[in-house]
Amino acid sequence: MSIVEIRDLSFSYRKDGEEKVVLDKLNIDIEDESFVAVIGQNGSGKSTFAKHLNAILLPMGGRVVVCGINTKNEKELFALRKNAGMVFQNPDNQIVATTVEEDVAFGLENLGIEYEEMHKRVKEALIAVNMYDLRKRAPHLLSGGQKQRVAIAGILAMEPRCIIFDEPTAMLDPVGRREVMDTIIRLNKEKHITVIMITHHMDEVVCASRVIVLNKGKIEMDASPREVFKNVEKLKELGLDAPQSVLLLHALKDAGFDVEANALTPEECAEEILACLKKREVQK
Amino acid sequence: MSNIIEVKNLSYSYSADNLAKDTALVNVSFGFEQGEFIGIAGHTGSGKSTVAQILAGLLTPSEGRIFIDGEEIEDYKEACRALRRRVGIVFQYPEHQLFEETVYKDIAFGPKNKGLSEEEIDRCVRKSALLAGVGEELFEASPFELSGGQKRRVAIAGVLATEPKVLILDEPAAGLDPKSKHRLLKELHKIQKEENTTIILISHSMEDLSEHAQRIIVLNHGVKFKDASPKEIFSSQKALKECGLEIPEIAQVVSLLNSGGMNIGSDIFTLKEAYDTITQKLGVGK
Ligand SMILES: Nc1ncnc2c1ncn2[C@@H]1O[C@H](COP(=O)(O)OP(=O)(O)OP(=O)(O)O)[C@@H](O)[C@H]1O
Ligand SMILES: Nc1ncnc2c1ncn2[C@@H]1O[C@H](COP(=O)(O)OP(=O)(O)OP(=O)(O)O)[C@@H](O)[C@H]1O
Ligand SMILES: [Mg+2]
Ligand SMILES: [Mg+2]
Repeated sequence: MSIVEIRDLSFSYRKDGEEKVVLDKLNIDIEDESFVAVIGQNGSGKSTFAKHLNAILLPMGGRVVVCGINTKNEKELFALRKNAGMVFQNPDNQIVATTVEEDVAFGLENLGIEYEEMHKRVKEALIAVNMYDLRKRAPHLLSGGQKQRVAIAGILAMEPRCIIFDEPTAMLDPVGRREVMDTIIRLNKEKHITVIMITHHMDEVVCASRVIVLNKGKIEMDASPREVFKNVEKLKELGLDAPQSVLLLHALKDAGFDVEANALTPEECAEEILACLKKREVQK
Repeated sequence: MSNIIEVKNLSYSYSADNLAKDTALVNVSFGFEQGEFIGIAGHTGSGKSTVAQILAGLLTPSEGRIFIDGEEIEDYKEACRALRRRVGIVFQYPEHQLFEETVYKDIAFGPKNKGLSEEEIDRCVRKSALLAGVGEELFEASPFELSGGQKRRVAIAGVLATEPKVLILDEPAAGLDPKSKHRLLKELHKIQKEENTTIILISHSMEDLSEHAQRIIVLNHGVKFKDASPKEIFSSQKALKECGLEIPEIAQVVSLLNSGGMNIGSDIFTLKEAYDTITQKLGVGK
């Protein structure tokens, strides 16, 4: 079943009478409970696309249906946003309350969740992003990465069916990045939440089951990470890259070594190189 | 050679009256030479942006000594003014420094303030826009109607246009696509080489730091944990992890290769080094 159905979606920002086409007749179906990564160079239309999924922007052409709700249906806006949560690119746009805890609770109050349940969810969400200790702090007094975690907790607590993350780890340290990625994977695997994640970190793309590559408002590639990262040349042409492990294997393969450039992670990469070493030793 | 900027026993607390409360930096000392490329790393909340703002003369230290060109400036107000004259800073969130109605005016703000002529301003704007990857087609757009990465580039261009002697960039690559990130880092090297600018790069990317910084300062809960070469910093995976950091992905591959019996040494952190060493070990390709 598709949780997101996009048909001929077009969008342009109008400026001084000129039209700047940002999304160009996109057709995308996203399966319920899947994990989709969206990549593309700056200005390719990723955030604009994301904003269509919970009706922050409405299509100029075509339609967007999320959880069975057409985003143009104003009466269902509340239900739509309850089901499709969004973590914005800049957490400052998202922070509203005077303490971290209240900030996370804010969305829940709006949903009319009762006190006990709210309390429990806020606590769980803050623990999941490792911000429980700072729950009494004023959000504007947090560091960049701390704010980002609070923004993520705010959406987690709402337990939507689908979460759209717009560069959720851009300001996090490596351990924090891993933690947030683990949290996202867990939400997807255990809570069966559909995840749509925009990122510039190629090593995070590896966690997804499907990658959509946008370029100038069009879909340029749409496949599994393994398929997409086979085509390093093309990715580079599109201003993108591949994880370092992938790049290393590709370089070795191009130099004529007997390796499959098929790995995605450091573990797979090392395994492949060790296998190659063994083959060479046997030959000798 | 004497340091262009040096701080000794620097402490900072966000509570004006109580050093023990909201403490962000504790007794930190380090210096920067003219023309150096330095990285600053540390977990979220470790004090990087706080240090950056002190070095840029935007926050007044709670305690500590500041030296500029080898001379101590005891009066903090005066020290901040002197720092502001030398240091340009790209903030962690570009939104915090974009305010003009067009991209062009935003980039022109610094040079204009220096009292340059229209012509010089224009030259300066175009040069910095090119360096930062801001296309001229964006000049008349509002900085607020840009994508995240485009905003970032405009903010960077605006600071480059002031041609500071010391350039601090707080997570400048966050939000940039891979190609623009590589380009930016290359341009920073060029500026370092050609103008002898000191570059201070704050980053969560161990890959970028290992590849570009000559020296990395690691902060941990407001305390200086280490100040050393990338090789030295990345030699202790365990200690790094305790600071919220990790070794670069390539170093992880190398470590796996070593434990798998390949024995290629453990001080390899960049793609190129790994490639060279591994091809040597495997013998000539066929
Ligand atoms: N509010 C706006 N008004 C006018 N044009 C806009 C506005 N927001 C974005 N744009 C333009 O639309 C295009 C797509 O922007 P979008 O934010 O979707 O890109 P993105 O893929 O998310 O990029 P990034 O990786 O930099 O975040 C860009 O060319 C941008 O300049
Ligand atoms: N205005 C403020 N008032 C009180 N505390 C603050 C303020 N700004 C930051 N802090 C706190 O000071 C500490 C250091 O913050 P700083 O912004 O320097 O961290 P950082 O290393 O830049 O983190 P990040 O990687 O997340 O950007 C953090 O614990 C933070 O919560
Ligand atoms: Mg974006
Ligand atoms: Mg910071």
